[in-house]
Amino acid sequence: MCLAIPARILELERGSDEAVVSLGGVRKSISMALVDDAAVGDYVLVHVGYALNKVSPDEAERTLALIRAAGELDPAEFATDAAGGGLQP
Amino acid sequence: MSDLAGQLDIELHSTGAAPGAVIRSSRPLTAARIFAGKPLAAVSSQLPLLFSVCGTAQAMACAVACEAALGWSPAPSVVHARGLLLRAETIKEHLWRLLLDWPKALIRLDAMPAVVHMTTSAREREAAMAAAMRAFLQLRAALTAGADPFLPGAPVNQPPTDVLENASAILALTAVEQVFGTVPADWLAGVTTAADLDAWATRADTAAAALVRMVAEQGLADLGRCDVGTLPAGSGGALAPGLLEGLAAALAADAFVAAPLLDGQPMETTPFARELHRGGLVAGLAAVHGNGLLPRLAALLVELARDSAALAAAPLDAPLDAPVGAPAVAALAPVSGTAMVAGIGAAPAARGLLVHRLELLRGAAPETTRVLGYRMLAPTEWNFHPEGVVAKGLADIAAAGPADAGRPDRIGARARMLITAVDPCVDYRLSVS
Repeated sequence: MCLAIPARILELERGSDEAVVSLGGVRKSISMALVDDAAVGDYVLVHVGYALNKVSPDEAERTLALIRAAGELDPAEFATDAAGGGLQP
Repeated sequence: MSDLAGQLDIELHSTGAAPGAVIRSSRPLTAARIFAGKPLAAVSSQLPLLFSVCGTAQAMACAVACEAALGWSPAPSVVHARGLLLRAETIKEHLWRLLLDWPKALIRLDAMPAVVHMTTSAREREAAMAAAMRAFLQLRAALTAGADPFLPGAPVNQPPTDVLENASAILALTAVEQVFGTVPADWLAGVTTAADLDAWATRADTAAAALVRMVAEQGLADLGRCDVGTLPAGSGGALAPGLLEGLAAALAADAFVAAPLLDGQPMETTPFARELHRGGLVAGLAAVHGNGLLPRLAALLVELARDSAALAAAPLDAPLDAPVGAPAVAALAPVSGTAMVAGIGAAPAARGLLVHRLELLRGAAPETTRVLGYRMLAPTEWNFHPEGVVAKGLADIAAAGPADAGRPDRIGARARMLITAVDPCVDYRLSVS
């Protein structure tokens, strides 16, 4: 299924649409071109390298909990071990 | 953790005795199992969180499958709200394809002069897409404020009309300025043949018109053409009778969910497949170009025009209780002597047919009804089947390799264009040898 993963913004690069986010504990550069009001510390949904929209910390945690549960239920399908704490923002 | 969304690994072998393509998927296909044992009301609210990219189509398929199983009927205003939001989601997704994905894929080909000729920069197109995203989110907030219309059997939905109209207007304006250069309803009425499309692409000054010109001028209209069929349809573009009931039994097997076949054959379900069955422009183009690139591009345009026109008209002219389209559903035989029921529902997601099958322990309300089993079948598994429409189209691109001798980058660019046109929805890794 097409999952969009919540990620916390670590850095916003001045003069560009790029940001560095924490995606399951891994730093990753994404495009912020579609979101114009996000700040460091905010959560965004990330899909194919783009931030789609901001989400509240509560919604981010609820979504991450669902993804964690899916990983625990069927770890063979989730190459990265979601239950290992890697999802904690 | 980005791995959790899964990805496709696509290998293209353009050399050797047997050119071909190998597609492997690590997409999480049974994540819906986490919903087993939960109250239906909780599942209904959690589903769009987990599958947020096409969250509306997901919520629609869930709601109609449950309503079929339980015999519940949502209020007409709820059906209308669902239809509006599904159309808005398709508009948002098709704009993404046309403004971001297709230009990027065409730039990788030797089409640079035409790209330079595009009237908008990548930054301008991203800004337009950002506005469309915001409008979609506003529309969704307005339609889900108060009561969630995707709760099975939901009561009346009365969204604030002003927000609805403003958001719809922004989506329609994006379609006018970036895609059609005219009112979508007028484009739909005026572009019904290949000649009409060619004439429009020549005179219109939009990013999408430039795409059509580039595909034609670069000789890409037939790119990816192959003989894989489309999921059968009934009249007016509806699903073929009995299709869902047939899928319901097959969905029990994990192997089917991972690599579905119909009567032993891979099938395609995409905007192209839908429009092919509706006739008109896309069927006319397919008669010449098969399932090549130009009919696929035209299908995106036609669906975007139809949904934009409907969205622009519906909040203003139609009473809120007028239903906008209906998804396909079937109630499955209940287990006799128990409160267990099952249903299957399908929604036309932007990328193709999305199917949900649920087993439920009946209660009087969503809060007291329990989900026992949940299976989903997404369009990506049909379209990126190891022997499906993309695999065969890629095999042909690989086989044509000698024409691009010494240019694996160009073979790769052609492959990426086809993959983009069918749209896997997830990241993919392509290797060319």
